[in-house]
Amino acid sequence: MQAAILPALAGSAATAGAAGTTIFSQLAYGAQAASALMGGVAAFQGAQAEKEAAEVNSYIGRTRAMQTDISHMRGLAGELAEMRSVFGANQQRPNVGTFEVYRELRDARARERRIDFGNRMQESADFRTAARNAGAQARMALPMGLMRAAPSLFDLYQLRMR
Amino acid sequence: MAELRKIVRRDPISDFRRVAPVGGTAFAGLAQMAKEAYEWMAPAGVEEQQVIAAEAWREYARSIMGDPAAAPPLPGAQGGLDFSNPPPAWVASGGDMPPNPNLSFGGGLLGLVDQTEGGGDYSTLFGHSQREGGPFAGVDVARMTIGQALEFADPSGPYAQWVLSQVGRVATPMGRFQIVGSTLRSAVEGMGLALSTPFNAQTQGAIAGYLARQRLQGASTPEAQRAALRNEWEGFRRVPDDVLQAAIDEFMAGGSFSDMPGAASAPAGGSRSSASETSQDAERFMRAMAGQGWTLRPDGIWASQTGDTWDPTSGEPAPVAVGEAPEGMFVMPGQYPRTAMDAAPRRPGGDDPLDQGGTRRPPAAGADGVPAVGPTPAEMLTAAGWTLHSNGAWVSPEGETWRPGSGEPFPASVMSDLPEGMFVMPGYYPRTGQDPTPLRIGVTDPIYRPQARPGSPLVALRPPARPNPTGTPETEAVPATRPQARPIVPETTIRTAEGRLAPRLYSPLSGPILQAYNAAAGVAFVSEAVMRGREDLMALSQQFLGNPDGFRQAAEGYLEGLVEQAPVQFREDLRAEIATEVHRRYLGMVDERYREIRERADNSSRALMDRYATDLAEAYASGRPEDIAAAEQALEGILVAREQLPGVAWTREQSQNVVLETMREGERLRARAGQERSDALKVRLQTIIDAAEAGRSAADEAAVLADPSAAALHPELYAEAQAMTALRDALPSFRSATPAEQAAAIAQERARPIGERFELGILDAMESVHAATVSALDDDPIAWAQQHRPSNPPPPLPTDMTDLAAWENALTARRDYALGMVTDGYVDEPLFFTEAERDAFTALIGDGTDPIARAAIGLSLTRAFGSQAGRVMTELDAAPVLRHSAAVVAAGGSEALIAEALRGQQLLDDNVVRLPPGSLDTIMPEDVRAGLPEGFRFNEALVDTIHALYAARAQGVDPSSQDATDLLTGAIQSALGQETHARGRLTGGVQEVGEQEAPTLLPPGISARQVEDGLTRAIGGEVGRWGAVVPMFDGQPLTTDVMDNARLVPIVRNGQVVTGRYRIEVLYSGAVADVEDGRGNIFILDMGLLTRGVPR
Repeated sequence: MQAAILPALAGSAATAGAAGTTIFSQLAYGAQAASALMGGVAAFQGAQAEKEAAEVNSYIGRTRAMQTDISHMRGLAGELAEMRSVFGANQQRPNVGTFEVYRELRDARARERRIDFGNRMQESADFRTAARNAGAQARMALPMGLMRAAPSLFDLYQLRMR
Repeated sequence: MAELRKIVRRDPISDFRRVAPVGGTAFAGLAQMAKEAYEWMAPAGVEEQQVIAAEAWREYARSIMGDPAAAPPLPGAQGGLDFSNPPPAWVASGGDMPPNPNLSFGGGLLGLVDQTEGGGDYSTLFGHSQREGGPFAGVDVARMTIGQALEFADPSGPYAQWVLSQVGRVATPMGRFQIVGSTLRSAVEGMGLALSTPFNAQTQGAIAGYLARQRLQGASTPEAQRAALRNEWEGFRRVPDDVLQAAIDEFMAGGSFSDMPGAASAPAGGSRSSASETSQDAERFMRAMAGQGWTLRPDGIWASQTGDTWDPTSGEPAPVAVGEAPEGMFVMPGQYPRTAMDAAPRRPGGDDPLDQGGTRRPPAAGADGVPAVGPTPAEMLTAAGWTLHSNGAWVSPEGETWRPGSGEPFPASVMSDLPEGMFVMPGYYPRTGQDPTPLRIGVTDPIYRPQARPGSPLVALRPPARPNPTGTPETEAVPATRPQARPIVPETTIRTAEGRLAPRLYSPLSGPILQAYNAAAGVAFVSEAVMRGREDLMALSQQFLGNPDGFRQAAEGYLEGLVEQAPVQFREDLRAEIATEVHRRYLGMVDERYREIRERADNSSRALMDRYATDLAEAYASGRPEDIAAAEQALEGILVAREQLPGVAWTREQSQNVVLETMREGERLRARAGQERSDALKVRLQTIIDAAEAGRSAADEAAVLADPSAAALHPELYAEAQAMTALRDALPSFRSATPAEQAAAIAQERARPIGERFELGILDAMESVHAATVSALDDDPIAWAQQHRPSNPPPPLPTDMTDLAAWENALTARRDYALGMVTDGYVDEPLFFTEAERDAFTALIGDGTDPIARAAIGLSLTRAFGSQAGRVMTELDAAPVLRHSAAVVAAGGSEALIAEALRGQQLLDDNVVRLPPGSLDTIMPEDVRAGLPEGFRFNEALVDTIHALYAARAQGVDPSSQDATDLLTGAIQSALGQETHARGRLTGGVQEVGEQEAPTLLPPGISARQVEDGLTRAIGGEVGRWGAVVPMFDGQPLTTDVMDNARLVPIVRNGQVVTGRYRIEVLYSGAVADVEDGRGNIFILDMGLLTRGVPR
């Protein structure tokens, strides 16, 4: 369709040019400037949305980290209680060996808890970083759109002022 | 615990989902759409910019290059417009007029038209050809009517054809506004003007205003307005846009095309009182008048088809009804139609403000008597004699300049002429004393009034608005505002790789659309400038034909001037292109020069070769060795030189051909010279023969007859010449002798022994002369006598016929001479006139001559020739009527018969008289018929004479009546010579004669009694009346008894009566016998002799 319309436009342009008007040039430059400006707005809005989403995800990640920590501690306590109840049922008195087993289990579970917690917290931190980055991107999107529109606006200015 | 496991989840981590980065999609879509729109429209924008750039920069190139009629300033030449430097350059229509310092022009469109078109003269023709020395000197279109101007502008007329010969196209610009014929015709039709309307200043201004308004009507933008006016006046194409636009704005705000009385001028105030509207009102008024059949005469008076007149200055009401005027208009007595806002009546030619010719002149005072806004600076400057240059600067008669908007103070010299109550602060508009706020003019163009803003002191100074019929105030008149300036983006300046500063139109950082403009502008300007420059260079080269160096020098100067005029960014390209063209044309001129030199050398050597070849051929023809040697040497020299001439390629073989052809030409010349000599000798011999035949001697007779080559070339002519000269010398009178004498001399010569050889030719010459003499005497004896009888020439005829006696005596002498030639034996029958005389007389007595003159001439001929009159008339081939009547008169009839017969013939020719029906035989009375002799015929001459005499006498008589028959009988008798003598007796005609009263045809002038008395006297003894012979009858002389039974019978020969000759018939014994003489021959009676001395 464009191929069919362009010749007609060109003919109109010739007619308009003969009369001394620059309507198509101004429209073209206006469209180009508008495209740049609206692209900037679109980028701003996208970055802003990305920032907000990342912040939410960061919060979720932090919550999950804390939940993971608590879950690990609750599981450790359960395991120790279960072991004590087994030893008690067997009439076995706590000794050095028993405490060593408890300590070994506590160390293993603590290590696992820290790892899980750390992963969750890292995940949250990643989202927080992404949100920061998106925010920064949002702040630059509008100026960038304006900058991209500047040449067209300059041409339009030249055209209008000529 | 088990229960707890069921209600407590194993993994307490929440089930929150991460949020997706969603946002800005709508704007992203819009941005994409805008991008698509750009990509869609960018090609159209590029095309648009290319078109605009091409058109604008071509136009600009044309404006700085100028039209052919106003060419850009060539080195050493004047012409062209320069709008950048005051004072203005004079540009005449046609571009060929020198500056005229005595002329100055006003501002506005009128001033621009004056500068670029008509030069301020309403009589201007193309090239000012109406001035003294021009091809149309004395032609004044301003004094013509529109119809005459249109006729003068006929495309096939001399004016259009002359312009065609000047500029290559038909154009007929006329008048101050250079309106061409076709435009004038359409404007006249559009305005409804009559062809009898004078094409004077007022009409020209109205038509120009109409044309400008028509053009501006459909133009909404300033560009379109300028283009529209430039299409109407080509001279505006050389006017910068800002100057032209200012003039257009001024015109639209109330300017006009006329500074003549009655033209538009507008006072301030009133919504419909602008000059533009008033000018349109005038046009409407003229159209309304023309629509009702009124025409404007050259004396300024309107005339209607019914004969009514109206003088615009008389004060009488205009004949056009008020209803004809546009709404809100009315016609003041004796005025143009005006609006109700016009308080003061306007009188064309009087105190009408229309007559002032100013623009936007404010009223002298408002309603409160306070002066309103004073005269505009333009009006003040104009009043002080300043003129507005097309570049916007004002120039005083002393050369002082002031440019509005420049910041310079308003000229102090103009301030002294301010109206009372006005003052001008230095550098300000003239204002009134009540104006507290001076307006600085350094920033505002004083041509235009400042915009009246609410609260401005200008508003307070204006007269109060007049209420309209609805009670609401009229819209306050707003002074013309300065058109919004169109700021020009400064050209972008860049520094090139060479370190130079170079301007650009649009910034190099611009997008492709503006870059397309830049590219197209450069191409358009350079191509247009180069194209025009090429034309200029070709024209320039025509001024330096054969001088390439002079052309190059002039072209370089032209190039510099052209480049200086060009925008900086295009100068380099333009210089390169034009320099290339200059170089090409220079090379072309050098080539043409060399070619011309070669051609000239070739032509020169060829001319010398032809000349020397001709000399050699003539030398060959002359046969003189020294001339041949000299000519051969000269021809050989030029042929050798020609063989060595470069570019001619002349070979030795061609030289040999030239020599051979020259030799053949020499032979031809020799043969031609011999033939010419032979022809000359032939002519000279013939001259000798002719001279000898005439009895004379040729000048070179002896030399020619002594020339042996004459005898060799023309032996027969030579012998004839010898014989003729010998005959002339031996028998000088031979030529004038009678034919009989010549024949005798020939016989004698033939019998004479021959002594010399040439004498053999004498006899031939004599016979030749004799034959010529016989032929000449037979054809024209009088002319022969004039030539060969110098001692006794025929008497000449006088050319003056007014002396009738001398004339008739000369004719009589000629008659005697002709009869003498008969007597002398030259001719048998006389001819009285030469052929030339015969032709002259034939014309005089012909049908084309008046009958009275013919009768007079015929009568004089009859008198002079007497009995020979009939012969003369026959010789002159006279009309039958004249021939017969002259014969009757010569035989003794009345001289009046000739005039009467000719007059009657004229009446017959004019069909005035009708003849009686029937032939003469049936009408003729028996007694007349009985008198006519046997064998007598009514020939054509007699019948015509009878009819002519009847016609002369029968006017008003019924042809079928008895009177007509009687008249015809009388005409027959008159034609036969009968008339009534003074004593009452009839003479001539058919009369009864003798005892038997026998009808007898008598000769004219002789009565029957004369005949009877003559016979009685002859019988009685006067025998001499019988003549030499006495008549005898039956062996006895005639007696009275015999004559009582006798009758006279006219002798008839060839059907015609021999006048006066009769034979006598005697009725004897029942038989008829002729009277005889003594020898038995029929006796012929001479009636004249018989009646001599006998009274009638």
